[in-house]
Amino acid sequence: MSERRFLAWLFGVAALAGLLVAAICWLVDPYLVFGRPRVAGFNDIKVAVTQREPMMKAHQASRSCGKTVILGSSRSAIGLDPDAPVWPAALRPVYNLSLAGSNLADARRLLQALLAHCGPDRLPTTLVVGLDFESFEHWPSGFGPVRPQPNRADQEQIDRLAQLASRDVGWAQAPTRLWQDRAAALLTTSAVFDSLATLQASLRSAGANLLPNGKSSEWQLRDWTIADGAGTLFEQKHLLVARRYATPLQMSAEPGGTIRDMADVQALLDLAARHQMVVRLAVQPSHVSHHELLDALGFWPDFERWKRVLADTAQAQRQRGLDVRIWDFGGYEPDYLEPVPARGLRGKAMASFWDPVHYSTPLGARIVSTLLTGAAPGERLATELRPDTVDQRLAQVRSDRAAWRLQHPEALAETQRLRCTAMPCGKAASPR
Amino acid sequence: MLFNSYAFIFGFLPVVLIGYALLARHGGPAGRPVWWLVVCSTVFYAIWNPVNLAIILPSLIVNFALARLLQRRVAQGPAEDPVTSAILFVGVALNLCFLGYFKYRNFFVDSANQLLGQQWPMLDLLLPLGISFITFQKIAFLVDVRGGTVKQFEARDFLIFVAFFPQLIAGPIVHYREMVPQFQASPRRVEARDLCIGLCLFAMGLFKKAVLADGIAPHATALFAMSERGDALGLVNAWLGGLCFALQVYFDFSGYSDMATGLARLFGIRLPINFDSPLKATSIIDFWNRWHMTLTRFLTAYVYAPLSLRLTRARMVRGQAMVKRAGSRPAAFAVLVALPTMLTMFLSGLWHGAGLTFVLYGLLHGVYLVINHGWRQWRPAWERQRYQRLMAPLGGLLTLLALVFSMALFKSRTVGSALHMMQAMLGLDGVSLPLAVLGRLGSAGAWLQAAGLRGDMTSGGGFVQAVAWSLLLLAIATGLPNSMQLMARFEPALGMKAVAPVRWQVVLNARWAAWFGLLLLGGLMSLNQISEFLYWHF
Repeated sequence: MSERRFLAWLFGVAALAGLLVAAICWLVDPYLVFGRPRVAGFNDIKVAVTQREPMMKAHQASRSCGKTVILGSSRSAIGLDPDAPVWPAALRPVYNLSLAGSNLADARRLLQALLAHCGPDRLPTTLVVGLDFESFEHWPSGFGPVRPQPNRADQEQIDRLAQLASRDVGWAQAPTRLWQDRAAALLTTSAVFDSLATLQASLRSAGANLLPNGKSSEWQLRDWTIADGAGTLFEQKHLLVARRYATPLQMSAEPGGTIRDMADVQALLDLAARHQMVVRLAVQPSHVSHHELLDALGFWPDFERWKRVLADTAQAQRQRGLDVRIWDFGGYEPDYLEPVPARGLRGKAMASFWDPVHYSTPLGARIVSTLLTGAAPGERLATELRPDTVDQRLAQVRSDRAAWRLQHPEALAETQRLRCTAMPCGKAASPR
Repeated sequence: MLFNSYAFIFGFLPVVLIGYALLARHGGPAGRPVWWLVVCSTVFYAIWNPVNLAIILPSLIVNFALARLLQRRVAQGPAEDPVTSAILFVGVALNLCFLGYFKYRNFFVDSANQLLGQQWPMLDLLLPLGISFITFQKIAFLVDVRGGTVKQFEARDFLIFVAFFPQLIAGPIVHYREMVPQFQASPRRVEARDLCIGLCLFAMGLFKKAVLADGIAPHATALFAMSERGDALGLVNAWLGGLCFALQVYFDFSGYSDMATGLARLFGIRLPINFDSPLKATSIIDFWNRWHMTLTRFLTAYVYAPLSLRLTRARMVRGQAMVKRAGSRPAAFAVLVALPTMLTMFLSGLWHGAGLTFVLYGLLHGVYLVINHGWRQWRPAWERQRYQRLMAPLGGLLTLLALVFSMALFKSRTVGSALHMMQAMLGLDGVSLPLAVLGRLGSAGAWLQAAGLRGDMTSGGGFVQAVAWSLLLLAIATGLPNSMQLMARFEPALGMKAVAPVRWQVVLNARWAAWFGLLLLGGLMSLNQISEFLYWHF
């Protein structure tokens, strides 16, 4: 064969294979970039959400200007179902714009981009925001030894949000980004592998999934629970938490000072006020074992101070005319005390939690109900935080905690064991 | 500009190639296409950061002037002229000071501060790209001029020798005498055959880098990050981390070398071979003859051999024992083999990076080599074929383990985290597997736990992926012919005689074209997450 024919064959095969790959990726649409219809058994399970959630959410949200928008982290992404019957018809459709690993600054940027994209005629009227105390804790500047580097997906999220926020535009008005995403979704090896994974997961009807309403499915957590057992998932999460919180995390530059990220709450509420939205904030629930570990690591004073400042912030906004209410689900109410199956016991799912911080959809539905209509008679799930109720609420949580500890003396040793995996056992955790 | 970037592949490279082809086709002065390459190579270097060029250019001018001086004195004077030697000494010293200032100043100041309890300031210095490679080539050039190996040279020849963009940043480290005659050969033109061969090599290199090396990289990074945080790794994860990184470095750097060789071949230039399946090595000596071969060649020619020669002469003068093929006296072995080996590998470690971990990496490999040389001296006199049958696989395994163990030093940012990794490799962290993996092994998992294997809380999915990547890449590295062997028919590089022939060799037919088309596509489709070559830092 002549050299010229060899080159023609080489480039020809590369081009043809490239076209084939692009066609498959376009049909499967693993990143939701092209808005292809979801076909059951073919491409309905979007497993790439574990790696590419920011890109996927951005494109999905651009087609989903709901009346209600949910913001928050993976906890609200998994736990709050936009299709749950508790949402009143007037607030539907609901779109879950929560993003795993995000904080309120990210949430505001996403909302900003969504508002710009949807335009004045299709603005959401209600905002439900899941608040994570954990995302308010940061390492001090200059602290470096164990600071993890953001992974690719996190970095992509940061870049994307920064770009959207800096230009204050919707996704449709960011053409460069759009073309980059299209190229990434058509002609990259990760798109090919994610397309294959999507096909496989759709055939099996299993795996992680980003549902059309923005919710992350619970299937993967269910599969893990079946395979590894809830006890193992709890242990794994606790060890991660212990390792992170054994480092010098802080909410404010100096003890008792201004909480750094409270400005993000303020900015989010300001944005909601400008667009006359109703806002419901939820301090998201955690399992009792998570609260015990936070306390053992010295973070309870910070947790209480955070709730106080949140109550004050919401009150200040109310006085300026914003319809905002904040509910504290972060206590020792009965639902959060559910016993965890022993490690090694596989297949047994818990009613309310998948791991210490990720709650189930049934609990999520009750959270939504409380947020929208207040606590049902006889239901102990949360208390509304206001400046005049916050002290009482914190005292009640402490009292519930003392009662629980009396009934579960064995839990103290377990918490100490977890704490000792991350810091010397003899050293008392200093209150933050 | 990275070789593995769209800007380079679809922008810079076609422009350079078309410009070169046009200048070569339309005649004119024979050197014009080469000047074009010099200009493009300068742009390639400066595009990163023009300051790089501002730093390197004066040093090139000084080296050229010194080389001219040397050339005149060598042509006129006696062989042992002390002034000529002094000029060479000044040239080498200047180059080493240049390298030392930019690459090692802060390392030495930091080490002195720690040792002497001082607070001498560290400087925020820009490290010019490829400074180690460029400096080595300049030194080799001066030595070759002094030795009379290089007799005639022009500014254009000197510049293309130092700055030819395919090997400018990370080698292969070339000699003037093997490169410049190729550029001087006329007529220069772009041949379809060279395009085929260059493109095949480039496609293989791109695939190795963008798909294989970058594919396994996150697993190596994650496991070494655990070590840096001080987490208990366990024996299995520690070895897995070392293996992942060894494979990452191999595919990264050999991929780069293939790309460099392929790019040079597009212009009809052959670079020296730099990798010859080092993971198939049956001893650590064999390994260094196959890994980064041009560095080994440089260090052997300019450090090991002169030092060994000088020591040999000194012992001869004193009438002391020499090293024999086998059964040498320990004192002779220590002075004539161990000492030069350790010194050379110390420099090799230091060359790789300004840090104690790199120095220790070099010294550890020095120890490996000394042990290997010692074994050859005093091993039992077994029957040759039986010895080969036994030692080829055993030696291969030992070499791989030794390499993976040393990766703890090569990858870790601090000696502390390297030691932590090594402790784990020695089993001092215990032996564990992710609990999620043990749980899925069924009765085998239960049996392993009963046998004392712990379950840990590291990611089961991450572990399985890391194992799968390692096995795949290890199979490719040890079971398949390398790129040079595949292309042997076309003599893709200089020094091909050392490469063992294989049955599978590329021929220009549709089947091979299809394979290379797919490799090229795979590589191009993996460029959306661009990552630097590891050796660009050296």
